[in-house]
Amino acid sequence: MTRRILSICHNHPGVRPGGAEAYAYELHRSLSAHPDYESIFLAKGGPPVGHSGSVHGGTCFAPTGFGPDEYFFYTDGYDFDYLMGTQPGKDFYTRHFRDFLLAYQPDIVHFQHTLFLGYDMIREVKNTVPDAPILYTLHEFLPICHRNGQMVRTASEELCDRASPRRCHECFPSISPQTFFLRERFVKSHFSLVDQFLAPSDFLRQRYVDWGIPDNKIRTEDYGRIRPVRRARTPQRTRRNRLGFFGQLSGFKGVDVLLESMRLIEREDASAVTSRRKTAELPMLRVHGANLELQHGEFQNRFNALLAETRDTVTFVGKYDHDHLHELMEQVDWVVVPSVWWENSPLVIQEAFLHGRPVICSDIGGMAEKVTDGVNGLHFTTGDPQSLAAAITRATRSPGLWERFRAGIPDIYPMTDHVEELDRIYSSLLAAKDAPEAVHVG
Amino acid sequence: MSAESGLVSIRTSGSRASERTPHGEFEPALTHACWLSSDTLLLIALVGPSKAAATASAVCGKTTVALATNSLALRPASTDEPPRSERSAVVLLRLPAGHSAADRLRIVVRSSGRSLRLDPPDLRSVTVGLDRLLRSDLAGLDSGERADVLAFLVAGPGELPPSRRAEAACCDKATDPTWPTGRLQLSKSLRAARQVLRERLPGGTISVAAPQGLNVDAVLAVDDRHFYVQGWLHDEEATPIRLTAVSPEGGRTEILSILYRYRRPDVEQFYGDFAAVGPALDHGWIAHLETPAPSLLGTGWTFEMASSAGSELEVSAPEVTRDPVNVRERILADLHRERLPADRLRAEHIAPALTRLEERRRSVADIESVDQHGTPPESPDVSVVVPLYGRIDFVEHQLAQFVHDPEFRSVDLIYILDSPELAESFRVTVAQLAQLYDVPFRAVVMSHNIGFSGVNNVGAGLAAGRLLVLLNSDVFPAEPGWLGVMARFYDETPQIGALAPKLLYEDDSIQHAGLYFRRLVDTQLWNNEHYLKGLHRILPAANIARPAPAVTAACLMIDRCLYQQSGGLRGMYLQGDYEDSDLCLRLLEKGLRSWYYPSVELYHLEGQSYPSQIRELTGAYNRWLHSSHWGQRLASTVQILE
Repeated sequence: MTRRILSICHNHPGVRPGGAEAYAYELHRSLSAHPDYESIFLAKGGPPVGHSGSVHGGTCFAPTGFGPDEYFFYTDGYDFDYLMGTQPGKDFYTRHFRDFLLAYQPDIVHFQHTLFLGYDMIREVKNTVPDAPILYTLHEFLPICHRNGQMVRTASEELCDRASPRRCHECFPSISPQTFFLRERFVKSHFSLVDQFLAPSDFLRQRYVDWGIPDNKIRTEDYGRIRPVRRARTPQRTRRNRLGFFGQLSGFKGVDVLLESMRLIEREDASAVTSRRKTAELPMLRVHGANLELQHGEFQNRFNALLAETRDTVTFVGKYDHDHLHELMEQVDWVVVPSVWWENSPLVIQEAFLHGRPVICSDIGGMAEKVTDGVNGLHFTTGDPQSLAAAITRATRSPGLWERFRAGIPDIYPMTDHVEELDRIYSSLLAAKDAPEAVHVG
Repeated sequence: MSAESGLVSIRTSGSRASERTPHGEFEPALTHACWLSSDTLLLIALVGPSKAAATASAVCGKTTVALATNSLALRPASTDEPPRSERSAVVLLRLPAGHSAADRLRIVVRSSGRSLRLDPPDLRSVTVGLDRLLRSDLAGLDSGERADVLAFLVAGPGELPPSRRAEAACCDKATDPTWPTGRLQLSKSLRAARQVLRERLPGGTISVAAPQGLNVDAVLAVDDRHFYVQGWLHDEEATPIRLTAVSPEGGRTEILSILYRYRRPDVEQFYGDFAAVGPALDHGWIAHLETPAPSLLGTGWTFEMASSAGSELEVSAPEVTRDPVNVRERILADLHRERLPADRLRAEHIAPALTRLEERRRSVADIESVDQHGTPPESPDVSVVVPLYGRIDFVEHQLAQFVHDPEFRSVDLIYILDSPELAESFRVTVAQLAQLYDVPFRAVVMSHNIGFSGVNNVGAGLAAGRLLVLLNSDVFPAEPGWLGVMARFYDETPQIGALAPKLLYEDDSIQHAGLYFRRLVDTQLWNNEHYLKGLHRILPAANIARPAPAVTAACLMIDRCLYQQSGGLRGMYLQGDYEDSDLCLRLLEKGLRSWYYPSVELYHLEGQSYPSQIRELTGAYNRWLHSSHWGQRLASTVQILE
């Protein structure tokens, strides 16, 4: 019998690209292709992610135009409470979402995100289709951390390893510790209705266990990837000194740390020119990424100043089209992932590995977990340009290192395997629901 | 008008002709009439030479009912009248409750055994505007008589003597004794009369050169008979011998003897009389005064001052402040004018005013609506009453916790909104929440703000459970099942009054582990203190169930009948403070002890619901009130229980 699964996401990748939504959408398509599943994709539509809102009166739903099994769920007219993660107008759930659930009667509901929709979505599923197992994939730390789920302290930009009402109040002095207490209790009230959490990395999983999600309700399940049709060729080169950065041009992604390390390398080289070091041996960096204009002015200025100072070694490519990624990858030997927040299971690491490129990354969180230092890449001290410069120098100047690391790149988790694993998880959850005395973990 | 009307049933005196009956007696005649309000009629009549008081009745259907009536005989209008001339009198009468001028009742006035029958057309023919009546009939009187008339008017028609009250039981009209119709109109008429008839004193000018100065800073309405007035006075020649507050309606209250005087450095600075200080000479004054008649008007208060040197002056007061919240805050702000242990200001002025203010709030507040959400539990064992004041977002957070507790399916949960301005938003919000959270509850809206004690008592009145739990909206259970655990302990503990659990702050430190009383150094004041506050929840001393001198009302379980027999929370305290210990002390007088019970833990996000500056003032006031009420019994309580 075909199982109807409802996937819920905070955005549609056809509106604005993004890692989590791209994965969620690929999963939806892959589940649809599975003979045992009928998949419905419900993506939050309209602002602030999309530019335009609902066009039909009297309904919050509209087809996406990408297929008969997809919808936008518009939040027009509702004022999302970003702090608590809820729509204050509860009829958003009890009227609109309830009607949708009644119309589709899903057998399984899999949340990819509830941002802009609200955690109450979970409770409404429980109220309206109580027999449907509820899954929730965690992509970052938003349920734990009000600072966009980054777990980086606001004042010092230090990494944060644990939230508490007092610590969160320190990051947001205008929000009382009592309010943060309520926030956590509120999120956990709804989370208690989730049957299975999925974490794409062990690191993220452990964070949530530490935060209070029962150990037996959360498991690590990495993102599955569809193997790209075209993979980057690997031109023969005598020196493997070409680096690539792929990602948002934001402080969290550490692009400024990378540019700073390139500046250090250039400066060191300039002082060494007297000893006749050849500039041609310098590492060369290509920066791919967009959204610099969304960053605060101080960051933009710093970014541009660093670019000006590293003209000899850095090429700013700018926004790139994901369909041409293999061509861009062909031009680099190494991919650098210098994020200064924890990351989860960065898609850029998967992509680098898919195209056979070893990775130089920060030594924390999901990055350190997915890249093995000395096997398929190098770790450096997070946020430290000196450490990164040293890693780059070592990577680009050590003969044979690149070839060894390339050979150490693991196979990427294929989407087909991921779907099979999810099928097993869904089936066991459904079996548990069918059991006469289902054990409810509360 | 009058003379041409040609009616036989009434003679008007428009021609100034006085006629005698065939028996040679004077017959009362009507000069002018004016409705001071829809039910209060002012008549100027010629009555006989007798000074006997007039009485009046109205014909209502087939019955005749007595009317509250008062009359004041005036001196003969002119000296050329014959010695036994008829006299003018002012007659004031009030229609039976529920009736108004529009009912056009026949009115009969009697004086000295003779009667004057006023059929509606007769009355209409002599009815004039108040201004006209005042100018033609009363403005010409000498100042003493005008003062008498004003006093007469403000005193009103009075009440019927008990012997005649039965006659006043009238027919079919429903009545609301608390708010007779036309009170505001009456007040405005009285003020108009006062403006025409009163003798004006020289206006007081505030000047360094002037020997006397008087200023009223604020007139704060406590209720319609009580006002809390703040001002200052200055008299360089002598001491004042009279200070009179005159309401816009003309009610006069002597206040010199009741004033609380205090230093006003700003006034001393202005007059430069730094030497002239001493308890009797301090410039600032405060008075909680009672007017002889209700005063409803915001403008028109005057204050008169007479000095032993013979001079008199009067000043106008600023507009009356009526908003109870504002009034309360401004009265509370006077607490600092008195240095403890002296407490005359608070005992004679502040406390009576605030107590009456709270009574006024309670008397006007009523349950506006009760909405049932979800299926009400059948014969619930426990009722939980949650007052809401200022913010309603806690409801969602409580429901998000209660929904995981199966016991709440059978709990009688009552939310009561004590912020009427949030009523609409509250109704919409809880109706929506009820769709999402499977927790039955009632949502109650008060028509007016009634205060913490009042709203809890209203909730207790609605409660159906055997046990009552008072729960603040910022209290959230740590675990489900807490109510049942508390109820079992309550039932198993002999001689128990109130029971309260361990309350925690959001950082898991102790907020409540029982209350005790601590005397402030060198004072007669006792503070309510929390045991072990701010310490770790695992502290062994905090984990022993034990009796305490008192427990908090933030989460308090009590037998509902016991609560109501004890009178619930008392309303004299302000804004949720000391009501709980007051209740516990009253229970203790019955031999019932309050228990602290640490096996149940809840979080209490204390002090999130209103600003702390007000809390400080109310706290100081409540502490004094609580201390002066319970006094040494607080000390002995501690000894008994520790």
